[in-house]
Amino acid sequence: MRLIDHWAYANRLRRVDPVFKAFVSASTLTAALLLNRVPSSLVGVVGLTLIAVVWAGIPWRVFGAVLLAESSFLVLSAFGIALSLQPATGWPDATGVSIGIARVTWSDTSVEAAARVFSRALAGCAAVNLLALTTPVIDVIALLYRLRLPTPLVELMSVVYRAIFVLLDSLDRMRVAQDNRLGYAGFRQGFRSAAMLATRLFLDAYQRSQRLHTAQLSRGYANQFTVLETAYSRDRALIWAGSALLILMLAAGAWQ
Amino acid sequence: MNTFAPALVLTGVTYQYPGSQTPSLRNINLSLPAGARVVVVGPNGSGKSTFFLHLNAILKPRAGQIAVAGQPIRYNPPGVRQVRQQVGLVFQNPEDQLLSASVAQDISFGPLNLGLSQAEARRRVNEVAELCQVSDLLDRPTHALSIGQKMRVALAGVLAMQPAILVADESLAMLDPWMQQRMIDLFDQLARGGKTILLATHDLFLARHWPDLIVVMNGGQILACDTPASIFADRDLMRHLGPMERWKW
Repeated sequence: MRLIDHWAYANRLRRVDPVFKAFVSASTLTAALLLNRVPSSLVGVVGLTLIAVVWAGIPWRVFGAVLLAESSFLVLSAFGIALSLQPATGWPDATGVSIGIARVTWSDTSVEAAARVFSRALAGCAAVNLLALTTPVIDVIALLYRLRLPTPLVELMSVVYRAIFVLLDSLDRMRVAQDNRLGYAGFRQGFRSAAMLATRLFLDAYQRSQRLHTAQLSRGYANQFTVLETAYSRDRALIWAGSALLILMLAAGAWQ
Repeated sequence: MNTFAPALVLTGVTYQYPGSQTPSLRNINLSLPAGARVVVVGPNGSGKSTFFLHLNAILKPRAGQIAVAGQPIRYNPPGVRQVRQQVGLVFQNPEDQLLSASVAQDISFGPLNLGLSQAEARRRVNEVAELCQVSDLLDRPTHALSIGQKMRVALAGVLAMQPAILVADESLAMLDPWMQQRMIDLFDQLARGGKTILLATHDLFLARHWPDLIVVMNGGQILACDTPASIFADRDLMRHLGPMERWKW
């Protein structure tokens, strides 16, 4: 999470209006879902990766690592769709391999269905990753304000985002303090320490929320969390790039 | 220091936390002149934080009255809003004060709560960011700052509301000596501009050499409010500031 957050602030598309980035992300995601074709999804993945790596300057290994982590879940799902588990005696004509009393089978249809689901989901992940790795959460929150989402919901997102990092810091400190006193020296101690840490973190979060509320009140909080609007670059180059990628995806979808 | 116009007057202020057996503040009487640099000292649990929370109406006294710039605090929404603009409170741990995800947004929180326009809030953000030397941090996320940077951002967030009185509750405790000195220089600059500065600290060297006045607290009471020379000349009073062994260093 810290890796994604770091690059969201450090990439070359940081200053571009999040509306433009959301357009590219949402349009490629929608195209991949609607077209539902392996070539168009793969074109989408390649195009989004190029935008992220070449344009935004996010290292290959970072974008790849995030995509790989997601695709590991997708691979498991794809295997579940492609393969069927049968008794060794059943359906001897089906393509497959026998393992003891069981037989794992597949067909052209099931493999194609798995490939479609996998490539479509991968394109979706790449689209969301592009937005996540190039747009800080504060910009996403500002975008949601502009889209007129319910204010309490967006305010809550903002406070939760801030609280995540505060609690992560607390978590790190507590864990080091426990480790320092051999809290994770063995399996049993580790479990006990982790349980204590979870309890303590809950109390810490509660006490911290009380202090934050006091600080809010002392700065004139009156039930509305209002902050400065952010100014962005309105360079439309990203919109054109996104549109070109859509056309390529459509063309790839039409290709047999 | 303007010794004629009191910035803050407390008369018979008493407070007891709900469920507590003993009062945390007992019959506090104090008058502080505008533009003064005041250090509040006293052992842990002496009532310094409770005293500070009264100054911008986070807590309401059980008895007594507090007047800011000659006006008694009114505990209705307009009165509370007014006093929170007049008295800015900076906490010991900036993590407890930074609310927003980005530095600029956090500094703008107070001015926008005062009902200022986005343009005016932005102007104030830039102004205090320059004063507190955080202009280059405005676009950074608050969680990516060092503790010294967080403290300066927390201070900027309070100064953006343009308070006449700045109250800092042990705000130097977590900082290194260089950052402490930068904060002290900033407090001096603010005091020269007419702001009243109240700083709680356990740093007796700072208490002896920096302020115009020292307020000594213990057991929820104010034992003395006088110049550093007078306070440090009183050996009985000094026992409340720390162990006497410290003076042999």
